[in-house]
Amino acid sequence: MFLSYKNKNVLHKSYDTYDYEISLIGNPNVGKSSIFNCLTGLKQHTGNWSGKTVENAIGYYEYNNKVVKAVDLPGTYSLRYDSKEEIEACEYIKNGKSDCIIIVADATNLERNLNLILQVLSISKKVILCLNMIDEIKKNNIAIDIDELSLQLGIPVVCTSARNNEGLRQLRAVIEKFINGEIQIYEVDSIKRVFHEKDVEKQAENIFKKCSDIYKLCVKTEAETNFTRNLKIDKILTSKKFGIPIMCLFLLLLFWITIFGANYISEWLSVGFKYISKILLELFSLINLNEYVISFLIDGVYNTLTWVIAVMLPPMAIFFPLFSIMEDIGYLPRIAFNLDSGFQKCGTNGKQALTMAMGFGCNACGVVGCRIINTERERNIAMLTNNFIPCNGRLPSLIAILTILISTSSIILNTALTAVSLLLIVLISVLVTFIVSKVLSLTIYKSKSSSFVIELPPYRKPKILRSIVYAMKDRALSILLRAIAVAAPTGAIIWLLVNIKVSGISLLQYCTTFFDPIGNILGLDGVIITAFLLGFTANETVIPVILMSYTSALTLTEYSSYTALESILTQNGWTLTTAICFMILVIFHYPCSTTCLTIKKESGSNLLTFVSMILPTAIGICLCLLVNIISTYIV
Amino acid sequence: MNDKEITLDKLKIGELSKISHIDIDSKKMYNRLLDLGFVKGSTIRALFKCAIGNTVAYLIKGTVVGLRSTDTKRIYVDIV
Repeated sequence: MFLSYKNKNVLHKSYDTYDYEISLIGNPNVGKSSIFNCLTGLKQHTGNWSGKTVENAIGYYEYNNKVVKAVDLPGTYSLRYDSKEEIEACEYIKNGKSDCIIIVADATNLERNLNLILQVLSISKKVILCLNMIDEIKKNNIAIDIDELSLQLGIPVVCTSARNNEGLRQLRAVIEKFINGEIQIYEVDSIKRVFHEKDVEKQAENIFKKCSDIYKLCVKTEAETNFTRNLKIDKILTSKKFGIPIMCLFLLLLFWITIFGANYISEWLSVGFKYISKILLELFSLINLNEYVISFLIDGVYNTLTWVIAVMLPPMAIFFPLFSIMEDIGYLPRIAFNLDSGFQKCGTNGKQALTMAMGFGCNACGVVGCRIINTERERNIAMLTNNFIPCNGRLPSLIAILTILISTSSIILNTALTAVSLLLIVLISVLVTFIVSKVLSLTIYKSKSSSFVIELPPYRKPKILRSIVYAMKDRALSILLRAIAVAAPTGAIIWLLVNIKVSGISLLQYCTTFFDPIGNILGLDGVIITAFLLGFTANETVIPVILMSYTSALTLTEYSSYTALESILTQNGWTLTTAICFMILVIFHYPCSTTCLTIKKESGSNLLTFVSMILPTAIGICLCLLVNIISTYIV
Repeated sequence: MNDKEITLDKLKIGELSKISHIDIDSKKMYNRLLDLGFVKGSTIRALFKCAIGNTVAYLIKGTVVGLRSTDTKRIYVDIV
């Protein structure tokens, strides 16, 4: 709610007026968003799979003292048919608002890209072709005759490599020259004639014949070296024997690195914060601040804030860049490809796997990502089940509890076992997603299964350092800001609830005692329930609220280490059952407020939003009841 | 119907063929296939199958696309 997925880079300027408007159109996965980022300096999230951009992004840049507004339209294969985004793109171009339309094409895949290029040319004259990924051409020994291409299409052609930041300066210059009318463009008759044919199938045939002709004229050699290598890799990653195990291994590795690294970073951060708190304490006493105010600021606000930063931020800051690297390589579509049959049996399709993958980062992003799913009913199912995947805000809570539960003598064994447990938990979430999707598609969303097409883009060498730096900067910054925006006030509120007493009992105690009966049935207690209720704002605050409630917000010295966490929990009656039920509830409860708002916005339906809150919570409650009953009989 | 015409789902892995015609009900899917290059005469090759189930990856017009057998049953190709 403070940093929605739309405004990832809160530092960009916004302009009220502009001199020109340009729009970017192109096939999915051609690097259009990268070009957009380079032009505008915005940090739209890019990744190596089709459908990453799901809404028009708007940015601005200045060139030669003129302000240019850039609109990034979602990727589309054609201007012809009826997906919401593609109609939007088509309308945008037709209404002529743009002073210049930039078609971004994949230079390594020119023949297919020409399909869209020709279609755009048939509608508008204000077009420039931006041939992106030009660096991959050189690698593959493909030679494109740019002048011939420009002649054949009648428009200027600029070569770029957004990944390497090449050609952007020339692009801006050409855009300006174009808008000023300094560049000659002309209509090519043979292209016009292609579109005289009105029959859809014949026209498509004609278009591709023309694409093929142009391609043969302009592209000289064709080497398939990378292709055979990609094919070899794909055969392994999608094989019956290794496909799924490799997937699990990747995820396991991701988790293990996250847990291992986060351990150390958390320690350092908490030591640092402790030191700072001592300084603050002295400072406040020096200026003779009221002791209640000091307690409010330090025990309430500062402690909660720093707990979230020290414990929640490191796992997120490590997981997200690693995940981005995997995304960049292009592995995600293979996951969708592998799992599609499973999803088909549940009445949905493999693209749901992609939205689930996004849900790992943030469930709100996962919900927005559901736009890549073409049918409404499958989209709804994906939105309803997205919350089963624990997001970055919840993974640290799970990691914390698992770390406490698993203690052997070796750090490596500990972290490895924790990673395995986390993987198992995630697999259970995935299983539940399958089951619930199946139930939904049999009951509320009954229909024939739909068609499914997934594009498997070529593997790319990830820019590791750049991914890490960007993801850490972007992610770390947004988590930091979110912590300040959400954790600090939550800490303040809890402190008040703990310290405002009515008849000698704190407000918080009234609350937790009220929820104790419900909590006990579920194998938990009133404090945990209260924490989850307050955690509606943001999942990161659940454990801090629990800690503050148990300790009545008193100053703790070793506040944020796992051993301290363990002792506080055991002192307050936590058993193995409590830990298990807690983890169940972490996974299976209503989405956070940001996600709920997102679901409402994406689906436009209050009913769907309501169900999306009830469904996981109901499952969580049932599972907790079950575990509690079982444990009562075993012990 | 000529001797060498089969439905795409029967195309063996590694085999090459040319698109003959498409018989898909859904207009959306049909248009989508057209845009990916599934027009008469385009060459298509089956590359690999997925880990579980019947989805197969094909190479057409320089792109690798995954399609389900429920759809490839309705695409007719001539073996080359």
